[in-house]
Amino acid sequence: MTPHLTHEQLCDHLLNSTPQAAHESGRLELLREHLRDCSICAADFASLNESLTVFRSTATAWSTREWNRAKANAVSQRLAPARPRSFMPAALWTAAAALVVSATLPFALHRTPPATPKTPVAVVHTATPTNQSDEALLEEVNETLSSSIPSPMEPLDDPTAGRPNQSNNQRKN
Amino acid sequence: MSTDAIASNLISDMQPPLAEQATPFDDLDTVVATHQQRIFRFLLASLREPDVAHTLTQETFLRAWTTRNAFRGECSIATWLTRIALNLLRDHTRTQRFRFWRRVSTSAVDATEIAAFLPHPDSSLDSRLIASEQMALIWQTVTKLSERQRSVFLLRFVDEMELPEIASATGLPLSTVKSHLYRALAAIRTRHNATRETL
Repeated sequence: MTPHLTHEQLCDHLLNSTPQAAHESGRLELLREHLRDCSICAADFASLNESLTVFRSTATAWSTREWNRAKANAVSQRLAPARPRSFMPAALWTAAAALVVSATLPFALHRTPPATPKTPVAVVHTATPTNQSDEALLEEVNETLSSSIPSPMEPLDDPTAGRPNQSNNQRKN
Repeated sequence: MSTDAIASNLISDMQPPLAEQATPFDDLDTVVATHQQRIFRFLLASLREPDVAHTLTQETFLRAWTTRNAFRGECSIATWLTRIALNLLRDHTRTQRFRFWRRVSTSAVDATEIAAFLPHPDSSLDSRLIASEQMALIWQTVTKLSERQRSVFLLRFVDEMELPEIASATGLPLSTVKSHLYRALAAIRTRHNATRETL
């Protein structure tokens, strides 16, 4: 045997598996004897064994905590007041529908003008005479306002108006 | 074929199947109550994701129930369940989806968080911190082991299964199980000694 235990020998003792045969049983007994006599190997073994024990403890504590938490969640879900199950899906569907409509509406509106291309042309055709008549009317009103004599009194302004031959006849006489 | 032969065949087809053989899994409540925490502990330590561990634990018992007729009693129920859990674990961890989420996911519990479960009833704050740091390093080392080494290591040192049981559950020869344990322990010893020297 080497002065100290090899890694495999230390592991064999650590695993402490049930010896499968008599020679294994004798070998494990030799390892125990060495550990009793060698303080370095004993310290090495104790340190590793303690670490593995603590490792197992943390794993157990952690899994117990997670297990209990899952159980508590399950119980709280069971005890929670019944909520309409269809609420969330309905709300989600409504939101999705609103999103689709808002996304497609601009495209639909954008496509509308090509569908009615003649309407502006018709407006242009009818708008031109309307504008002309409007302008003529406004010009007439403007002239009427700007004239010093109102149109009903115009005959009085020129007494000869409407009788052009009368003056000539007077001159002849 | 004679008419009598055809008639006898038809009658045998119409007869109800023989009663299924009783298995230990018929009393599923007892089986679940006895083994589910141990299976969950192993899956949680392997995956470090509580939700997935819960799902796979349930899946383990569901599969045990559906395949209960294949249980011949050649191994213990614990070994049989462990074998199912190992298969599910392997199937789950080998999917591309799992590998992708393992890379990007934050749901896996960090080794430092696991080390926080270290039992330290009467120790001082300094010694607790040192012990926590050592434990985090061991968990990190276990994470870096190969899939098979990690499974064997956890079955031995978390579930405290005997080596022949592990060999039966994993389908590996006993010598291979020992080799995996030697390598896993070598990695842990190296890391453990390095941290002791640093601290």
